[in-house]
Amino acid sequence: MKKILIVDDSLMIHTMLKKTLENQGYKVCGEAKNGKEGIELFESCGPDIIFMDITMPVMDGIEATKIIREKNKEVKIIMLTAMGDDEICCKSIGAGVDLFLKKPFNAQKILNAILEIDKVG
Amino acid sequence: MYKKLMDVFVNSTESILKEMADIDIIKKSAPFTIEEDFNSFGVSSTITFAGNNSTKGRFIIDISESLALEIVKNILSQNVDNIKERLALSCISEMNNTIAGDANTYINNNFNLGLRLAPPIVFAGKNIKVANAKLESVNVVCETSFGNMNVNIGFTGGEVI
Repeated sequence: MKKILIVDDSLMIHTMLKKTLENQGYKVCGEAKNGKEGIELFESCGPDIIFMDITMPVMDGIEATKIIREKNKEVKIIMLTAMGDDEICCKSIGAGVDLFLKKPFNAQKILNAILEIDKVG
Repeated sequence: MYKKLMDVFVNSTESILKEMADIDIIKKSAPFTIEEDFNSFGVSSTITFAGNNSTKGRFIIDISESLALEIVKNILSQNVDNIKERLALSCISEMNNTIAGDANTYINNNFNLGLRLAPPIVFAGKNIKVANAKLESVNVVCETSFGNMNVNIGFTGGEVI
């Protein structure tokens, strides 16, 4: 069973992602409200996939992704973003993001993102 | 300047409201300027942003409680009795974030402003006034089958467009 870490400051996103993922048999191994908490939980729960928001207080998703990538090249990181302009995309890819999931999203888009990231290997 | 920006934000509001909550805007007022305070419909979420050439702005969605409850119900696929529940307020806040993100992406890609969002804030209550201190804003009132919504933007600094 794949383990998933959610890093987002929105309670709505946590609720929606957790419900969708657990209904499909994935295990949500950790939930963080900002990038700093996300890094701490990454160490303790060892996820296969991370859903990472960009704009968060304390530490944003791009910074958190860079730090996690220095520690681990294997974990898959899906960036959740309300902003999809060229600069954000370039910075995220440079930080080590594997896939973008543009908000708003529904259950089907979430599951498609996981399938797509599996294909990337 | 404001007409172009207002159109971008109203278009994003219309499409995101439909996509997230399956609600249509059935009528819109003409844009009008607000120089002072305005009375909230009941639930307000504000998001600020800043970009190149000292451009700063803020975007408010101000929603009647009946419409806010319908939005939350449709997003979560469950009924919520009280709009002041954390999860309900989070839905409104996230919708504001998504609309502002969509609009700012369009503005950045077309006008190269480099706008970046701050996390949104949200509040709910009766007889609340939204203070427009130090910032003239433009407002459009949107009607839906479930209640009304103000779409309000203010920009300052730099040559925006």
